[in-house]
Amino acid sequence: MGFFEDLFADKKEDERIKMPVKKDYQENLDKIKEILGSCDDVIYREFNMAKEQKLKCVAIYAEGLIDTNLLNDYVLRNIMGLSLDTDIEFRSVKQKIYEAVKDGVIAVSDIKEVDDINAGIDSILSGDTVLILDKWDKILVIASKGWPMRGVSEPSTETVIRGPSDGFTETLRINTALVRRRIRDPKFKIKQMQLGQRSKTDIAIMYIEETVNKSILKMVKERLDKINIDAILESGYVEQLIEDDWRSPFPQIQHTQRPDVVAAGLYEGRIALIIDNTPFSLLVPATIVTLLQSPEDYNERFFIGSAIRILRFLSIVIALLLPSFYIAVTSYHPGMLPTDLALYVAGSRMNVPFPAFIEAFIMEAAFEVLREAGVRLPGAIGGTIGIVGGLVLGQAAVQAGIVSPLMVIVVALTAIAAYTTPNYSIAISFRLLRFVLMIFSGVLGLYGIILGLILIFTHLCNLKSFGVPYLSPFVASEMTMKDFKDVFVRVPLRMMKKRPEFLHRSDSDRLGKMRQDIKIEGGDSNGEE
Amino acid sequence: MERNNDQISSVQLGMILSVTIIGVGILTLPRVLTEAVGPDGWIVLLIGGFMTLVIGILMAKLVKKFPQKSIEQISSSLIGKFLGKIISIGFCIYLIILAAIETRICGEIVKAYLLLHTPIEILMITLLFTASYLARSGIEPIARMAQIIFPMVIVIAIGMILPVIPEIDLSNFLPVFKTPLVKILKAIPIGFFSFIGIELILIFSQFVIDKKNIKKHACLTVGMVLAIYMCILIVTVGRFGIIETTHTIWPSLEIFKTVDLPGAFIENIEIFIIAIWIFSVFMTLAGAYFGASLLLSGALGSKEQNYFVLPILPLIYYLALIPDNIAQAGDYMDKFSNYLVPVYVILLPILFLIISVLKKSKGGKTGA
Amino acid sequence: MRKWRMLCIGIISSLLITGCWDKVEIEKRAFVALIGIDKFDSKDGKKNKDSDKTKESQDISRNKYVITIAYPNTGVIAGKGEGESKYIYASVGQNIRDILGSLNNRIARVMFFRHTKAIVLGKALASDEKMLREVLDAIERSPEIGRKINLMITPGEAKEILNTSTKDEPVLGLFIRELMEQSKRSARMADADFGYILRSLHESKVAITPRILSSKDQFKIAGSAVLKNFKMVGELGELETRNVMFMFDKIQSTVINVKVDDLIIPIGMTDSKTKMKVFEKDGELYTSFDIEAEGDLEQHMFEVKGQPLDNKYIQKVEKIASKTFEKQIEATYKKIQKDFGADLVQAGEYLRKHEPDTWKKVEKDWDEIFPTTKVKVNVAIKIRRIGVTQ
Repeated sequence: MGFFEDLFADKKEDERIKMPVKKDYQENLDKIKEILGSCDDVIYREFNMAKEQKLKCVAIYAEGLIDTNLLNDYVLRNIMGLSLDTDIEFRSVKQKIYEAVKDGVIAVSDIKEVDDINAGIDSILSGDTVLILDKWDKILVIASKGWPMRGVSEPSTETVIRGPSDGFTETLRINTALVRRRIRDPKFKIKQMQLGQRSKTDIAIMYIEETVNKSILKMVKERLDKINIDAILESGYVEQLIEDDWRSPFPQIQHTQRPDVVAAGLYEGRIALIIDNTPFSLLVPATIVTLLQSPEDYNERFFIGSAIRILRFLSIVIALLLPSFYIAVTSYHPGMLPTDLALYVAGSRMNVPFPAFIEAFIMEAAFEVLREAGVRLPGAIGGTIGIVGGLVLGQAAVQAGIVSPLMVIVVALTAIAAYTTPNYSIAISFRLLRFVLMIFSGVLGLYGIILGLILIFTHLCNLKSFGVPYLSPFVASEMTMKDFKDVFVRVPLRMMKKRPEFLHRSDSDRLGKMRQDIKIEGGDSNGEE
Repeated sequence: MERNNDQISSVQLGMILSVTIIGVGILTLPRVLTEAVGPDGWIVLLIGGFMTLVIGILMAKLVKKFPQKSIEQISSSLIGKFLGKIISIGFCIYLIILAAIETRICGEIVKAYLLLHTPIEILMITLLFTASYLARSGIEPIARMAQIIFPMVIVIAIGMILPVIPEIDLSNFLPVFKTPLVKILKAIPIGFFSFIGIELILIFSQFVIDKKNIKKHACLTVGMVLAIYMCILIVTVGRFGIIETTHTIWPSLEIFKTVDLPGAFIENIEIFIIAIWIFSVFMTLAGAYFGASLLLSGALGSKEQNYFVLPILPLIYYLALIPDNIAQAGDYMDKFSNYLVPVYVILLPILFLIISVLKKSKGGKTGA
Repeated sequence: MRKWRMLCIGIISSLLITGCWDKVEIEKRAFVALIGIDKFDSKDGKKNKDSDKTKESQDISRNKYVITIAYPNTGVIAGKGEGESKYIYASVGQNIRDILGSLNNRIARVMFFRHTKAIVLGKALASDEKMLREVLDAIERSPEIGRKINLMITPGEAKEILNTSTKDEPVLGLFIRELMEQSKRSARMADADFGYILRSLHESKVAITPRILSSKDQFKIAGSAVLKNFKMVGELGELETRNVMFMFDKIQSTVINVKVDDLIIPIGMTDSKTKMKVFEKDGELYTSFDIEAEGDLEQHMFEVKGQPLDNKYIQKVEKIASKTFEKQIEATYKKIQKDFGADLVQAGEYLRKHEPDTWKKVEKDWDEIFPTTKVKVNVAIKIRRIGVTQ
């Protein structure tokens, strides 16, 4: 396992100036007070301990971040009790007292020693309690994190009808636990690091050693290490800083709120990043196919799963192309419509003052405005906006003769179709590109649409997500139908016999090589060449 | 953004070749074949396909001897640096002309069927800019693009042809073998030139990782293209008959005017077919365009291929504008295929192969 | 590189902004559903002064054609507007392009021909070889007009057809298309679209086109007109047309009447297959038709028991039916031979394909040889069903 150790080993070297803990109690305390001056939420609880109350002691913690009960009942009471109950002579205790405190008194599960004041301060700020004892050049960090947190609840996005309904919360530890519950495998690793100069946000890199593609893991680690930013507030920050092409409208990293999606991704050999303070975790690498999959596809029987999958692909085509096709057909090539329909469309557009392009643009933009307003407004009003905006406005516009009824149908259809995509980001990018295509089709009709599509395809062909072509498996360098078992249709689970083959469906030849490694010796090989 | 843009598999090379070979030629193919030999066009096509197969195998053999070498390096090592440069620049010009032809014909067809009043300059320049984006992206995106577009085009085209099939009258291919042999022999170049694009093996093979499979996939490609051509020929002649086929300029397109998709959402599907066909022409254009820029950058000793994409654009555009009308464009096309193509598609690979065999036998004696 | 990119974006966006050459909104288009083309007649020009009042139209040498177009009022179709359901315009000129141009001066909309369903030619025009060839070429050359449209010939003037106002379907072109679909069942008119006509004309210089007839407020498509050497040479009646359709193997369903023992029994054909063969025998050319048809007995006589359910009786009917039908088809074939001398059945093409050696001998004077060919008709009619009563 040399590879993994090497990869995460260099983390140890810390560029920060170390501030060693001195033997002098007062000096240490002053230093901390100096650094944390004006931080009024930091509490210094000074007390004496041991016989004759000679040994000075201080517990430092940030109020609100710790579990006060734990501190009171299992730390302070025990230490103070030590001073009252025991009659060990101070002198003899002196050498052992620290070990005694550490090993025998504090009844807390997680406790560690540090010799750096800065490290201690970091711990305080992340919700641990720091204990400084007189005449001892180490400080004790007691894990006492216990801030008010949201319980595990159903995720607001990516809802499924059949499937687990627990979602990630804002707390990293809970999130990792939710995943760990699904993968009871010692090979499942969680590596933690901190990002952000000031925010010092915890980030957990999760992978399963035997299925992960090592070169991708290395790439992830390298890109994370390159990040130099003051604060990470949401997974989106990380996403945008490590993705392959920041100029692309397409998300190259999958975000999800669902632990079952993360677990499935990990089993497939992908890497998950969980970021503290956000319920959205990231999965890399992502391909366009993985972004269009929903966990429900697998939970339902394959007929239903496949049908829904096909429906989703169709919806994307509709969401992307329908308005521009409408423009092309009405303004340029009415010959493409069946005669009866063409005559009807022409009749229904009678007296509409705008050209089809303007009409479509206005309506599509109006819908986007409505959608945005619906998101910003409080839940109860959001629905009303939908009705008022969608129904009333649309109806009124048609009756006033500003838009044709067919246009309203087109807009409604595209809007609904865009929401069949489980991944919000990719739905947004398709909605955006819809407008681009509308402009193309407004100028050159069907030819414009084709050129626009070619441009989009070219861009997609250029895209890679952590070295994996974005359009995998359509563009796999080896023609294999195996990878298509889970694209347009999802074949029955029992037909996905070879787990790794199925699991690496989204991957290019690099993963393909690794796939063979697994078969031979369970992942103990070097991924890069 | 990382671009490790220099590795494709031979499968992908095959895909690129397929989409490159199928270009503007497919529209006129049934007409030119039928004009030349009447109902025996399929024989000529078969012979042409077989010849291409042989040439393809020769090219694969040649490039296999020079792994990871560009055509310029190959020719330099065989016939000297100066001649090598000349050959690669000539090849570059050849590809530019090919790209110009594709651009012009595509513009003409779009103008005739889709946008009757839009100036052809606009149609061509938008196409060229779109192609330049792909040509700048490098070989890997081109390969991926080919992989996406080829199946898409094939599936849609077959779907559109299905309604015609009951109306095909195979007796239109009768009488068989009644054409004089001389006529057939004279027509063979027509069959062969419809496979123009196979010579890109020489240029693109330097990116291929698994050299040993090139031969296999080149054969596969020729077979696939031959099948598609055959399909088009059978459908067109079967539906139109000999005389009608020779009468229309673009019979493969005209055939779709007779198609009535049952209960379909679209009528007059020839418009739709053109749209699909543009994908295919685009790939031919992009392949030639990329090849030209690659050769130029190689000849000028640069490693950055994508710097040379945009400077070539005006050249292609200007060349495409030279013919005054569609008939003249056809004439130029004939000249192109009669003079330049034989040199680069037939002569060059055979010559190189012979030289390399000679050199090797000599080199084998002397040492190493 | 960035400058290049900016330049590209600049060029493309300026193209986009100045673009839209072809944009014509759908409601601004006139969907010409039906075109009527007539030969210009100087007397006629004076009569219909309202059609074109310019002095130019009086100039006979410059005017050759009268084109009448009809396009629907789309507002009425969508239930939005009011007024007439169709607009009809006519103009005269030297060639079709000219006339359409001059029509554009009068119609506020852009004429659009991709939805044209039918073109009607007047008899006078169809009988003029030069004009018919001009018209056919103009239609064939147009990328807009498809091969699925119907080219029809009317014994009168095409204008009259266009001026007919039908009751149930306002769009004349659609009406004709639907009529054609319906009429295929009775097979009393030529099932021939433009694609067939072009092909047949290219191959053997003869073709058959549907004939359209009109009265005050209705029209019917029945019978056919025969084109030979690019001009109309005659007409075929409804039954003759049906027989020709049998030769073409284009019958979907039809009814034939058989006289059996003073009883006329209609047999509804449900399926029919024709095999045509041309062969040389004893120095003479034969054209043979083997027709296998299936049908239902549709009517007999009330209170006649036993007969229809009797196999022997049915066989008898079948035999008589086959005989009668053989004679009918033979007669039609001879009419085509003798009256028109037109190789409608494309026997020549058959020879070229299947008997290239024979064809070489006769190719040169096929026009003379065809009328002398012999015909053999074999009809086998099978009655499969007799309805639900005995």
